[in-house]
Amino acid sequence: MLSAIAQGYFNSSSVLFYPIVALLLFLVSFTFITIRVLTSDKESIDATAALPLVDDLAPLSTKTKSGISS
Amino acid sequence: MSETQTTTIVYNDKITRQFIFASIAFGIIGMLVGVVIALQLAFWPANVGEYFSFGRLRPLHTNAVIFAFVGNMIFAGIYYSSQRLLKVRIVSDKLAAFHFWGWQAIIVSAVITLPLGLTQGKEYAELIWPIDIAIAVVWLSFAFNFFWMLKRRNEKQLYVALWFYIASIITITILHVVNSLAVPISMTQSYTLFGGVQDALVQWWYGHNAVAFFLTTPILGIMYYFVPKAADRPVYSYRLSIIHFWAIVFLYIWAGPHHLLNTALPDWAQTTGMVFSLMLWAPSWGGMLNGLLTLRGAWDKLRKDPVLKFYAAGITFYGMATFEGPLLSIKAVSSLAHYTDWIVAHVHAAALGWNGFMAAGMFYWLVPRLYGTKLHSREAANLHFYIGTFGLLLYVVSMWVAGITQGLMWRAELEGGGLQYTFIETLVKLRLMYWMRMIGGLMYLTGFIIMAWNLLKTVQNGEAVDGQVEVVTVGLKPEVGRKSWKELAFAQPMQVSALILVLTFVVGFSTGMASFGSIVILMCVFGLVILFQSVKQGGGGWHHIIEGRALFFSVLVILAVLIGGIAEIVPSIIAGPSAMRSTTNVPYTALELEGRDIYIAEGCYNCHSQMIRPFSWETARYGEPSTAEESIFDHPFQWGSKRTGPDLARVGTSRSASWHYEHMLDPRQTSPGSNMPSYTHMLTNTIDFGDTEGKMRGMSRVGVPYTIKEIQTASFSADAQAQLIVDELKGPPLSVDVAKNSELVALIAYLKRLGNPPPPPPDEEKEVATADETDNEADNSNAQEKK
Repeated sequence: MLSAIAQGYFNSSSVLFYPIVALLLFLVSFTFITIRVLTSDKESIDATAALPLVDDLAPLSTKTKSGISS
Repeated sequence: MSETQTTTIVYNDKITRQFIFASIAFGIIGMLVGVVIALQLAFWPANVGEYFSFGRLRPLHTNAVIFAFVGNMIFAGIYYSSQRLLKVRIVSDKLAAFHFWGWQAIIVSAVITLPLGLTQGKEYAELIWPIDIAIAVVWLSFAFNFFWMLKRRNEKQLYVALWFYIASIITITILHVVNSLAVPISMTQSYTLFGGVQDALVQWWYGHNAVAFFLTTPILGIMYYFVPKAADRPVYSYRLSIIHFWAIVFLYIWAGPHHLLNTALPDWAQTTGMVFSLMLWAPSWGGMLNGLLTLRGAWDKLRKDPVLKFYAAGITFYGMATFEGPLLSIKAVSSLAHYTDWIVAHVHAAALGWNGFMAAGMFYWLVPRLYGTKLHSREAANLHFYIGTFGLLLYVVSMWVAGITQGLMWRAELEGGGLQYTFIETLVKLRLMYWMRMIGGLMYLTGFIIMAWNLLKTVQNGEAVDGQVEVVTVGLKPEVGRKSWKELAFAQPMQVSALILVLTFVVGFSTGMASFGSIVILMCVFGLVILFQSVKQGGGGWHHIIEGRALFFSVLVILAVLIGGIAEIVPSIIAGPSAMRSTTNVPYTALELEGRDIYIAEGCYNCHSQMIRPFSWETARYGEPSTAEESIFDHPFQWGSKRTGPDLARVGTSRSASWHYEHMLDPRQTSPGSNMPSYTHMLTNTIDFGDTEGKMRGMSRVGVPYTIKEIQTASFSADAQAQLIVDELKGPPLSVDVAKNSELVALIAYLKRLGNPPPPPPDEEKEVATADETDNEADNSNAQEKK
């Protein structure tokens, strides 16, 4: 039955395998990334997640000369 | 052993300040134009003169809000957050200044050229080719500075916001370059390289992904940086953000064809677009929940803090719009919603709710910090929030009602057959909704102006300050630095990417079931091997590596983005030449081509489609369904995306020259209740037929099979055809005298041709001009002129 469905599907146009390949590509990539992410190291994840919260020093008035000082 | 050294870095926040104020200024202008065109739809006399008609102002509105308001906003957010996330100052202040002033110059050019009718006629990519080149140059200057910052960063890990920025910069570059490919015929005009169905696919691949990678992914990056900042807690789930990113980047690029459902686009492309759009539901909502749940434990602050209010509402509207988008991508729903105001409601829920509110939240958070002071008035910010939300809801609800009413009235059929309503009856029914939309838009604009006043007062109360940070510069090398290039080259992501590339090419050149089956099996086996390996490795695996390798990461993003584009667009390009050889359609005559240029310049495509869908209620109203072949010579295609007026694909079969004449000068005379502007200026504006030859030569260069004779006699044939129309108008019922070279005559010639092509010439007469012949012939003409 599956072969009949597939035959009917691909008889419509030879380029119809593109959507199928696309779906499979997505499925593989998505599963891959999901498993990878779920098994990743908690500490490094938390450290990266905290990056926006790192506080700057007190801001500098633009009237003061700006640049880099060591 | 290297010695540890600390350095204090002062950020360039001047560029952020500049972009913020440019965003606010152009936001007001763009929204004001939006209110004006909303008024024009409700009250047609608001179309004042040639330069301020709806067709010319609508592209100005979309370009101003997308590229000027949101564009400047995302540049502000990216410059501010990237410096802090990378712990590095913008590498080149001069390049950043060039980016700022260059972008503003582009916007000013748009403000001048669009009302003048100088347009390419491609939605959201209307700007003429010299401006397109300027956009590419300025955008690349931004990209260069950004990647330079990445290279010189003092923070090894790339936070997720930066991934979204990288994806946006790369993808917009690709989209803009591909969609802008065109053959110039003068300093202000060009013909796009793609035609008909190909152009439709490329245009909506661009159009949809401009929404995705200009209006969504940069704002998601901004959300991942600024929402944790404002809520003072990390993002709810960093793991979810990784999945969100890759899923969005991979899926979005495929979804463009959902703008072309039930059209002449090949069915497989429509199905792909629909399926991928539906799949987008999951990552979009994953991202929305991640943003909203970051506010967990801070809900009490929402009552007082306008910043969090705007963020919470903005993210909620993102969720609503990304629920509605896939819903509208279902073919059956699209059959009702497409071409109606429902789409307008969807777009504005996203643009005003998601982009507008996220921008407001960011501005309210940033401006006090950039000026070392407090927000001038929290009450005014709250007022902005409530007035903006109410205006937005009024806008969206009125357009939902209008859209669904419109869709249902169009398809209402009588029991014994035939349509229940004329097109005008459906339009008149919406008038009240159009007024409500205008009031909603005006309220939103009022809120925005309150914000501008509030921020201006904040600036006056403070003094410009630049952020600074102390960083360790020596001895801080990313862990990935210890990995050799060989290790990286053969790492799992590279293996996957190589496999994907090989598969794409193999699939592209094979047709048999056997090869397809083997590819599927190969992919599954390879995927499983990688999965097992990655699970076995545990923490610190490849994803950790690419997070620290900006170049590597960018390459993967390019691959993820290109796959969708290549797989969808390449088949139609491959099929193009054979379709051109076998077509029985005939290119436009010289005069029709001139008329078509007028149609594009006036922005008629903003209100009229040229695509009859295969539904009984459409064929009963407009005629047989449109085919891909009918628009094969259209550079650009003119299928349109909205029907404020009726479809014109077969208007040439039902209307006479005198009807068009009366209709263009006073639409209400032929169609009482119409809201179309009058185009009296077309009677006095003239065309120089001497330029027509160059236009036909340009068309020939993009593949339209004009013969050498047709090109050489363009001026003569345009004149002769115009004379026929003039003679027709001289006779009854109108008995009017019209100049042969008036724009109106050319437009009438074009409209009479739509759906009404002449029979194809015998084969022996087809001496099609090649590009070389066209060039030689042009050179000879020039030489003769010089003599």
